[in-house]
Amino acid sequence: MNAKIQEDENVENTVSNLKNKFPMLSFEKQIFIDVFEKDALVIMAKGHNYNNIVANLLWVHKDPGNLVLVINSNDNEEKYFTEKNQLTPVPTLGNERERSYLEGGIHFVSTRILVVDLLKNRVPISHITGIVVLRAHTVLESCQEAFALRLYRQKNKTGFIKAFSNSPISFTFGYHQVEKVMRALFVTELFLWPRFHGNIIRNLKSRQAQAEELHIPLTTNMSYIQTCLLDIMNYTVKQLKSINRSLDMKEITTENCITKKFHKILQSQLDCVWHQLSTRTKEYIQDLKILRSMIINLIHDDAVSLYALVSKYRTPEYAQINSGWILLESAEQLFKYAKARVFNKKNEFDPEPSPKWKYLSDLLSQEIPDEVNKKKDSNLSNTKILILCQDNRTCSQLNHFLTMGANRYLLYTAFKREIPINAVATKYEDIKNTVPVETKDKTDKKSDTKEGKSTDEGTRLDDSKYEELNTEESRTNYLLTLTQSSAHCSKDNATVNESLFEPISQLDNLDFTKIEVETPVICIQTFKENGNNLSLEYTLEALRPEYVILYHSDVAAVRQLEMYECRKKPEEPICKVYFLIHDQTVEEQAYLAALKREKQAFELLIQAKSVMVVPSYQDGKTDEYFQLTNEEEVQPTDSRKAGQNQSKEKPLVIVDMREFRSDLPSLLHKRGINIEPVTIAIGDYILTPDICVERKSISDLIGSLNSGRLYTQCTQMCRNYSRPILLIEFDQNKPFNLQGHFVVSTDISGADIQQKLQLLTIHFPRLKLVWSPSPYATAELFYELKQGRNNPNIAEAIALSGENTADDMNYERYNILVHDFVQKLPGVTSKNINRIMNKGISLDHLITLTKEELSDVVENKNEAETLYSILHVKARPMDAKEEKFGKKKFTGKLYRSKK
Amino acid sequence: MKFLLKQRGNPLLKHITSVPWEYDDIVPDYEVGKTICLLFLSLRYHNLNPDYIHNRLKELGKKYDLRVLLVQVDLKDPHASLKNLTRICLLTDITLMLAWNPEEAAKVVENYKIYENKPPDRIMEKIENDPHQKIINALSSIKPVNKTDAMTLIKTFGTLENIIKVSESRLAECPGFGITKAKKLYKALHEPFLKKGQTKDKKDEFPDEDLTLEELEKIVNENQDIS
Repeated sequence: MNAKIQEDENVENTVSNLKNKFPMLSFEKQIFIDVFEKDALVIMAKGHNYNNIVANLLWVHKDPGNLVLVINSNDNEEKYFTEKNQLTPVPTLGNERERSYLEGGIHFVSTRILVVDLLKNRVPISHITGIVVLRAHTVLESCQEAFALRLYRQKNKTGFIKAFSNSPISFTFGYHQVEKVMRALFVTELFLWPRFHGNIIRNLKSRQAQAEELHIPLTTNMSYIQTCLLDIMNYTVKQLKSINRSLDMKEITTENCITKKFHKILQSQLDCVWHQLSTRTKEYIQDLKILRSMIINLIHDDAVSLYALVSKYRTPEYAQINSGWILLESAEQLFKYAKARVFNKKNEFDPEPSPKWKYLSDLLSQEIPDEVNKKKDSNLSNTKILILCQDNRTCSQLNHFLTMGANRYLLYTAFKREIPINAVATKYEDIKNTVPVETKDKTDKKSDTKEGKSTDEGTRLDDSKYEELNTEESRTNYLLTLTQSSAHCSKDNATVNESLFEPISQLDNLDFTKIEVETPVICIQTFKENGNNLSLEYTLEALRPEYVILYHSDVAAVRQLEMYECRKKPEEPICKVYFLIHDQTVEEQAYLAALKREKQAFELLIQAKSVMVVPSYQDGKTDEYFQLTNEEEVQPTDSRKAGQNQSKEKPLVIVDMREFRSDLPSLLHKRGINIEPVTIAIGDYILTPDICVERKSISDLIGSLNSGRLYTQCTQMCRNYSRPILLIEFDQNKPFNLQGHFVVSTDISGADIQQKLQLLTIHFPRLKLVWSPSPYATAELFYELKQGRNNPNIAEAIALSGENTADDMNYERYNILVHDFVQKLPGVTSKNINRIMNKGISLDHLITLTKEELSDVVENKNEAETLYSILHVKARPMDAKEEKFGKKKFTGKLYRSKK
Repeated sequence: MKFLLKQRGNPLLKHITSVPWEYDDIVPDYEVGKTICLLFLSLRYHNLNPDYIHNRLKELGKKYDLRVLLVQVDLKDPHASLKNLTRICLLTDITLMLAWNPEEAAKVVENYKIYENKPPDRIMEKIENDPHQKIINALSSIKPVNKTDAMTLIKTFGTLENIIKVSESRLAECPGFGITKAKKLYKALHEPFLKKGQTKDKKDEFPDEDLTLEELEKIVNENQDIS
């Protein structure tokens, strides 16, 4: 009892010490205490970042006597914590890494590296104080984190494991997801902190920002366009579903198409079957993305940009690759209304401004100054205003609008997007002359800022001539100031079109401390700077704005504002938040849907928690757990008794580094097989000195059969190993006996793939096929294959590669280096290659032959001629034909670079 | 194509429409030319008579280059027996093909006939038609040589003939080349097509791992235990 109190006091002490380090809100303190005491998974709402808690947690453990590893962090998080706690990055070289582990402290490691280090015993596993897992909702996507934690728990029974997640929605996909995650993390406690948690509500209520919602109606044309787009989306979704009946498309609905998460949803649903989809399906998906970009453009961008975007798809080239929506009645309407927003009835250039603009400029130039003047202790010159919007494009749009004025900006955009303009409405006439000059100025300025700017931000313009535009739009924040005092511009409507605002300075890396306090500051920023969810918090802390305008709405941003308000010192003024929302539109709906989804997710999790049964051994701190899962380890001793020719050493499998993305290495390890991670050029798994396995999921199988990669891989396997195996692994979540199991879409057939696979077996008769229903079955089969067989030689496996072939293998009649070279020459076909090889003697001999002699060898005059000319005539490069419009899109995977 | 007499009555026969066939007295169930043969096995039948396939395989031995075991998966839970068959196939050097119904099985048999003598072009990497591209591809397929090096070679020496004729030391002088790279390239270009001692016929390779009768019997016994 006493000890318990003592402990509590200790915790209290630590917490009070911490106050000075990184201040926490009371509910954050509660979470910290919970987590500090127990190994747990903490799930918090979007926008309630766990960074403060984790920073404190790390600070407590920052000591050379401890070794704390943080895994699964993203770059931004790593940067944030490294700066806060002044950590040193982990070295890239294995030996150095080993040393830095021994030195203790806190280390951020990528999980793949950690797994390899754990397997190679570079980490002093028994001395690890604990592991912190960030973004815990992703641990099941790859088996890596779970594998690393398993390796850790096996040898270390005392260290802690603490996991954090910010995405309750991710735990609702799949069956018993949260239980699975907890099992993988070896934690027994689950803490849920939804926004509607009593403590949080009480905490945040103590000090609230003033909020004002401004409901802005859409213009008539805009709402027509919205209806048309929704119509088309509905049609496309329906088509998509009708040709992919077997696929789980629950999440692909028109409603979800307009949410931010749509890309993620698509990815999780389709990435694993991407090669199994028909071209038509891929087209529909492509079109859904285009339509989504249009609807977002409609709400977020101005009339001219939307018109430019829509016009891009009204070309014959696009109609050819389009999936069919372009022929719909709604599409025609869409084009009509999009045009009507830019040109008036006389076909003059007269675009309508975005409805939110007027409200925004009213707020900035009138309402806020008025309000500031009302208060006694403040004046306009040190007011700071923060404008938040969804994406970089809107950022730059608002910047231009505020500095140039609405009309001038619209005209400027039209020039930039190269929209042909014949006539101009009267009010634009005087601006028209000034704009082109300005455009030039802009270009000059842009080229200055180009250096060092990342252009990876997703903008929908793929043309290279818009590269400049992209650079401009990849800026995530702008600083402006009011140049005139508000008195000048009151009432007079004309002034709205003149620039009231001008950029403060060309600050590339925004540093708020440098801003002089004498001028009112307007900062335009995105919710997340290049996907960094900590950027808003940083801006708020550094800028400390009194007024915040949410040009778009975002759940996480609203919550961060709440937290910011709560963290303020009591003497600081309360800030005022304006919401600019389009009434009854997809924008409002998306916001509400996001809120609803999260609330439902939490309710589901609370329900799951209340009925959850957690076995006491799940923490892995007793041997019980590993005995349960490792029962196979007992078997080898039995079979040894049975007198089988069993080698004394533990079974070992060589696994290619790249294979660590799949579940199999982890499952093999579970079965008591030692894993040796190395980079090997041939095969994925080497089981014995002569068994080499290439693993393919169905989707990969199709992809690599079509690209020809599998043929090359098989050639190499057959040259180097006497028992090459092609392992075809089915998805464990799909029925194994599925009809038409090679393809998902019903409008193509798998016959082609079947044929290609058979063709492969004809050409590689020694290649064995293994059909496995799941990684679990594969692990079992590998285990059985290992029984009574020798372990592979690691050094040999590494040495083998394309050019370094095992000499004692006599499967080839020919020397393979020269064979492969000759095979690739023009005029050489798979039919005549053997003749050339048999009769040609060598390349030295081949070049001495005349054309006639050569055709005797090749037995085909045309081919001989081609071959002869390639040997003796100088080859000139020919211009590769330009790829056709849009065709490129369907090659490769859905999302090429995730990491 | 030749079918074994005993196959009469197999439902897959009526689905074979695009290739001609006849009954004959052969060892395997289906014979596709001289090098390819197939054995047909229904999983359900295998579960009832595990000895059957064992005897057939023993009879077949290593008579054809490509021996395919065509398994029709007609069980609800095929995994245990399928795993067993996989092991048998790996040990006896037989390629395992799966079909889920008689139509699919018939397609597999047909495909083997159709593709019997086809070149592997369809499953190989697509190569551009431009001879210049092709020659760069060919040169850069020799391991340490990359695309830039290949371009350098063609620029420096003009034709392939010249590249083959120059000495190793001359190759090493090219920008981007070192002694090792030149050596490897030289070796690849000048080694004779045929391997030394390639006159002797290919023999079957793995006597040490060859299936012994006892082993096969044991697997079969195991299988009986399962079923």
